[in-house]
Amino acid sequence: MKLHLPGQKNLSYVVEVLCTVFQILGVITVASLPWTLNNYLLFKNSYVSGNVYYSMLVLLFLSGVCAFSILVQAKKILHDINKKDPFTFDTAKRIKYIAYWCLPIAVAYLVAIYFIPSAFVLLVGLTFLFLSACIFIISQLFYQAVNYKQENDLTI
Amino acid sequence: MPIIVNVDVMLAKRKMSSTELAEKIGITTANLSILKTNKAKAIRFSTLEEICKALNCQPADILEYVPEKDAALKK
Repeated sequence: MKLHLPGQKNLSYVVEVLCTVFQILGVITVASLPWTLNNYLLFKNSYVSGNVYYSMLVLLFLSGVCAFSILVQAKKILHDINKKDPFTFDTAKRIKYIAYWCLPIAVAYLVAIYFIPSAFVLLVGLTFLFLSACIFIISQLFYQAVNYKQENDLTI
Repeated sequence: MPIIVNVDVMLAKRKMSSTELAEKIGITTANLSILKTNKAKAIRFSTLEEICKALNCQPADILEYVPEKDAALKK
């Protein structure tokens, strides 16, 4: 059974396309990170020490890679929602992977406070930690939902 | 599962085809196949009632309890 979003028929299609767009933009940004970061800092007219600059570079690269993986999983989930039944163990597994991919970002930002002392870095770290926990709970709920659905499907 | 569904035995006794039974009780042949191959996790009383009515038998004729060990041997 396909998922129906009343009045928002094309929303999941739009989000799926957006995932692809973000993936492409992400790859371009991560690949050109030293250049992009340099230009951004020049644009902002702010000076940072070499230590902070390299920390930012590593941090942004790591979060870029994790975000790309999250987008890959999200795109697969949305593809399943658009094409077939979304309540499968695959979807539950993918949501769990998204929760796992949020963790390295959270850890990286929390560690980065030592190198980049900023409230925003702490905020991003804590947000991703919280997000990871929430998404993990949702994945477990999905596992239960799939179990219920299977039981329902196999009741004749 | 230790509960075995013997619908195919009763079908053979009544000389009825699966499709005919599925039509009579109002379920799809796919669902009847799930039932026959013991993949079903549960059976509704309403379905059981319809099967008994169609095959003119008792629930005990369709359902059988076989302890786990014997069920493995039977497979």
